[in-house]
Amino acid sequence: MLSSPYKFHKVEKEGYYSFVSKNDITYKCFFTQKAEDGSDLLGLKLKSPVIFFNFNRENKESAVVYDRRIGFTIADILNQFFKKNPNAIISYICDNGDYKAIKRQNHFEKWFSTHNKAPKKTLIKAEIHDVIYAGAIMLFEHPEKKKVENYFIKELKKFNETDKSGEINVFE
Amino acid sequence: MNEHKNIKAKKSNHKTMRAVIDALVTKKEIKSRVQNGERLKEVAKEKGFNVVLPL
Repeated sequence: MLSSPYKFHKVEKEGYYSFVSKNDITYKCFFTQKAEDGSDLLGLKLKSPVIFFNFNRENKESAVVYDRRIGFTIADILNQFFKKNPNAIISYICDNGDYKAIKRQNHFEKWFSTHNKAPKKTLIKAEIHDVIYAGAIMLFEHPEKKKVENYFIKELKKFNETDKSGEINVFE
Repeated sequence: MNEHKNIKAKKSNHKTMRAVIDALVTKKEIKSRVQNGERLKEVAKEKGFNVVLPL
């Protein structure tokens, strides 16, 4: 049984979930969905709802100290999400404004691998080195999983015709 | 190198590439505006997104 080391709470009025780490840093997680087409995954039309997951740290001036409980908390939020929304697909894109997107992507992958139990999920990671680090997460048995994977492979193949830096990885 | 690839990605005609770049730009704008004190729900709505609370 997975538990959340940090207790998160819903800030309904503002539309996010929040928790505070032992170093007194506030983290905000929020979910968004395209208003016009809530089943669009980066150009791919799906039957399932596509939800974008965002994770921000406040207190930017605070030093970043490794804290494994943050990963536990994010994993718990996502596991609860999939228990309540088994048909949904989570999409995320790592911010690369500070050129740390690859670190974020690696953290995300590590959290995913460590906490991929109950429910079992699939992470489809798409990267264009130094530019885009993104991914989609869904339940392992999701009926549109193959469709998403094939789409990402097809689109990256087009990009790789001129630039070989695109890569797809699937973790289960 | 990074700059070169960013320009290339932005100029790309690939549908997915454009969608990813657009999503990334939107994400950064929402994050920045919220950090500057604007309300998440309002900024997201303006950018064509609904904030959902699925838990």
